[in-house]
Amino acid sequence: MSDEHTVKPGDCISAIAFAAGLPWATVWNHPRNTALKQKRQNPNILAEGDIVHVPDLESKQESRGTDQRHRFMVRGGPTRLRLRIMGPPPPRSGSTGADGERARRRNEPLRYLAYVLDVDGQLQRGTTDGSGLIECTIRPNARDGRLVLEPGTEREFSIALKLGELEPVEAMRGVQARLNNLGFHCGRVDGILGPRTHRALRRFQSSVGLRVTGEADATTRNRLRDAHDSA
Amino acid sequence: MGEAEARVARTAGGLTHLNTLAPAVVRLRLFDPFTGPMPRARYRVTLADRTIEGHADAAAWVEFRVLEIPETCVVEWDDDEAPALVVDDPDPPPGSRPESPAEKYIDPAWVGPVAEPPTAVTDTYRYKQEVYLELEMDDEEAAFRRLHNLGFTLGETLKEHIREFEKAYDRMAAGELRGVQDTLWDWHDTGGVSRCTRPRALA
Repeated sequence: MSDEHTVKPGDCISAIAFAAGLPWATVWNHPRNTALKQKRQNPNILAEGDIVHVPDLESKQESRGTDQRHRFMVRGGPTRLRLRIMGPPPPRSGSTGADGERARRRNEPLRYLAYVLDVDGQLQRGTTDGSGLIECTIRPNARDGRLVLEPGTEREFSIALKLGELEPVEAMRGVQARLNNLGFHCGRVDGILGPRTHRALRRFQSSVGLRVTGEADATTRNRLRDAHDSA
Repeated sequence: MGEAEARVARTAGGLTHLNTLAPAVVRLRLFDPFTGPMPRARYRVTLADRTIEGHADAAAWVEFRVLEIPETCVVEWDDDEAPALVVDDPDPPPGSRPESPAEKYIDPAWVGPVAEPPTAVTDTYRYKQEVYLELEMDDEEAAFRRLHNLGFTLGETLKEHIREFEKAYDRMAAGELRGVQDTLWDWHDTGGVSRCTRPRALA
């Protein structure tokens, strides 16, 4: 029997489909999810309370000869985690110290940086690529991760990753999470447009050349999404 | 504040969504009381959620990443080779070395039943200071915080701190913010501090 799933923190189409034994595209492209698809655009960034229609599993019969090996492909491919590690945002007025070389490294991908990534106990070691990218295959319902940059050095830095908890930029929590990830710290992701979020928005707007208002208008949200979500 | 935390999205097969993480970097430059840089100084930075120890680089810079910039941190530092427990010079030149917690530990007046001496050599540092990392505010408070970070903390008012700063550089002690603001901002924010003629009060 088909079902309606109400999105909770940490949910996304990949995780919901995985739980139902379906490829993510089968759920996302189902006609009853057309409105959601138009609203959210990205199957892996849903808002708490969104309703997802989960279709029934359908059986499919394929005739193949016996005593032979056959390959069956699952549509959609594996779910991945893709992180791009960048230098910090440009200095705000009055930040503590900068010199030429360090200033040049700001806002640029951190290339060939050693890291250890642990997602639900699956450990991956490596270095970021030439674009500052870290990429790995994960279970569609993986929830927790930990990224350690420059492990074992004085500069070791650890980040707890909450997988699937990035909300759409249309939601204030989505704005705040992106500001925090991009180094424009706005405090706790609580969905409230308070003084710290206003200040972080002003800094972000200033850094990308937008009119500095401290408001989360549509232009700012779009730039924020581009800066965070896109290559 | 616990471990730095980032909310990220998974990427469904065939799609290209990214999560960009750009941790902020805090940079501090370590100076002696005469604002001479201290290359490769040993340091310990205490944040709300962690402690970072290491050595400054050859230009006396310390750099570390944070996802959230705290309002303050506590910085302790010392010469790289300096013995942790400093034997008091019985006749130090006037004002040449400010009193520090490390020195207090070996002063008999301070070693009592409630003041345990440090047990490990690496636990002690000659200098200790709370450093403001949040500097975005009105000019007077921003100046107060910069002066504090540079070690000009005697007195209670901003005017007194400015005078202390001016005296350290043999300037006329007018105590007016506008007289020192450009220099203060420049020195503090670039780390390019001139050597002062009178020591600052570190720790």
